[in-house]
Amino acid sequence: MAVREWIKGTWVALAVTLIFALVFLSFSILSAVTYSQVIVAQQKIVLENPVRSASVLANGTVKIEFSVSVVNPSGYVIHIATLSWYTQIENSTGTPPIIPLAKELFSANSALTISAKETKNYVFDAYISDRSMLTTLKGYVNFSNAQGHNITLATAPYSHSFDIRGWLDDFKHDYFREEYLNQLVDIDLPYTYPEVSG
Amino acid sequence: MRTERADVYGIVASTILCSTPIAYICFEFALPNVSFPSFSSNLLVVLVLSILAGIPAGYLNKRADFAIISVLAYTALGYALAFTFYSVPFMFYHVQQVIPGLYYALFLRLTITLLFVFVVGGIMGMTAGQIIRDSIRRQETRLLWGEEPKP
Repeated sequence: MAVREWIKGTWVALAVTLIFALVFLSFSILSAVTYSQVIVAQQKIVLENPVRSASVLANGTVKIEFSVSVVNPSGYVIHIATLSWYTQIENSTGTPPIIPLAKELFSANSALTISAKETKNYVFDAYISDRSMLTTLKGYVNFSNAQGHNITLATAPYSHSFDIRGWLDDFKHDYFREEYLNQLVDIDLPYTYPEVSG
Repeated sequence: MRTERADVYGIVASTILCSTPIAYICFEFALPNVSFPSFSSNLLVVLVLSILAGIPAGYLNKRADFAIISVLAYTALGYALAFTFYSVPFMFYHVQQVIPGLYYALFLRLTITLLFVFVVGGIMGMTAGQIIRDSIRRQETRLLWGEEPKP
């Protein structure tokens, strides 16, 4: 029996099956393309141009600034779950071992978003004017200089830690067991200065 | 029993055409949040779609053994297609693999459950397809050889 004859005998069933197959093929292609775009987006969303600075104002207040840009070249909106920044001094020469200076935290309740194809610049600043905090800072600077360093309140090694976590668009991201599905559409961009190795 | 050309055509056609729903179900089952339409990895929906996918295998194959071979063949081809769809970003977009565990999740962890549903559903659908085919043949025979219509 030739192929043509066979097709002629079963063309109705073949046509229905072909439509059925094409529908699922289009679903598969659509899903594979969405999946690819999500993966590409996840790898292209980055932090750029971190800038750190510190200065002493005329009234003796120490001003610490940090800014960073979040680049979102993807076509998806980023919904921010947490956005945090903190600055401190790691005091390896004495006590206390860590001198916390300032922190900022935004949670999902703040409903912060980064639009598609947008670069958003985040700027944080902290003013240290509390007398006891300034005394601790000056003590740290004086002790460090006594140990042979040459630092001032403006050039002290302030460490910065920034982290932005969020999820892409409206993709479901709250699976309890299948955590790999959350990972697929989640964004986590940490930045630390000085860089922590290992 | 001799194998006719029509049997080969039936196996090939049903294997190719019925593999796409299997591929989509595999993909959707592993990645429901980026699939459209998503049925949230519901096994009942998977079973219903497996039955639907099995109907052409039963209808296009005269012999039950070839229909069963078709069910196994389209399940295997569907898995291979799902594997290809999963690999699209790494093949065409040149991105690094983000979650290597997904290959495990898609093709090992879920294989036993899904294979069972695909094969059981496929054989159920195949049986339904053969019943439909036989009833259509019986009706055609009755129309051809039945009583002459009264004037």
